[in-house]
Amino acid sequence: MAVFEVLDDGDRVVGTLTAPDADLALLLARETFFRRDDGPYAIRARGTETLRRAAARQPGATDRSYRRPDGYVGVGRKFTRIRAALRERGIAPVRRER
Amino acid sequence: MNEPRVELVLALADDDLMVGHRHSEWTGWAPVIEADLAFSSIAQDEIAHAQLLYSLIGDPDALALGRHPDQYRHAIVCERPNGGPGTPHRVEGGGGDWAYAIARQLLYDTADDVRLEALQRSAWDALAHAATVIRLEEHYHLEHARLWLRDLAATDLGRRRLAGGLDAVAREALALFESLPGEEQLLADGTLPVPTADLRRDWRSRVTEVCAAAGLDEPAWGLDGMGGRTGLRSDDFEPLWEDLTGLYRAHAGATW
Repeated sequence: MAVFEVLDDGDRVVGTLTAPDADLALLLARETFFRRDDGPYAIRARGTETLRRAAARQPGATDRSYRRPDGYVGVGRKFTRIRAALRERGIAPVRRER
Repeated sequence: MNEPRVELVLALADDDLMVGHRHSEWTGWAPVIEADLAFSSIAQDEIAHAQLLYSLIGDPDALALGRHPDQYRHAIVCERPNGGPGTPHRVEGGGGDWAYAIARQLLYDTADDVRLEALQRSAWDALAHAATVIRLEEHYHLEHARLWLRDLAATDLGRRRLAGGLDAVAREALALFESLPGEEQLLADGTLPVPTADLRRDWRSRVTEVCAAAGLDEPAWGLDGMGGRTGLRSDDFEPLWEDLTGLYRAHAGATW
């Protein structure tokens, strides 16, 4: 097992990961650090200068919108709307048991 | 929509959905966190592929989650738990076998790539387009399986575990290419450009090549057909179906 540094395409260190070899490190870095990003990136074994570069992912193959955190935006407002709708219909909101 | 085309899409999409669901059970339980994230992503890809395919024939949610267990058309190898046939239903608490999971991922994604490559030439344009889009993501999946195979095969223990996993998958995986209901019509109208028997031959030789490159023997192949394409299910399916569809069935008619 070796430790690799992961760099974005501006060669800025964005994190580290542990993998048995550079091939697997390059593959696993994609999902560990760039799940929502299709751009190119690189890795290098810690303490060395040799870079291994991964090409950009084919963008928009299938719908990946489910990977974005935007779905959580406005959850509080949504709850408020649901509580109001429940009140209107005379249904008691569900209380979490303590 | 003609029946053989529906049967073909259900076979492809149900395979993706069940394999995707089984892969997703590793979330939180894979050997290291990097592997966990990568495998979870592959699981999401497979389910996204199923969604795209279902949309060719109807409402994806209703098709994925609203059918009775005997209405699914996936190959039985896709529904098996992550430790292999008859093992505990879930991975948590040590139920899974990473060697079996990687062996299944290799054989399944290679099979998917072989049949999608053929379907890119389908006379049904919408299906040909979907096959092209899906194949763009299969490259990552194949590389993932190939590298894990190579690295696991590098030690004696890994080779033993892998050989066991590969044999357990290969005993059931030929049935991924079980002939389809209405296959004659699909071939005649160009929907399916290559017979399943020919696809199976190409797939077997590709699997054997990848195994040889990792220094592994050709796995012990099993049954040609297990009835998955006509709705036969193993005892391993019921608990999977309960997990997969429980929430959807509990709120019939809800808008998500």
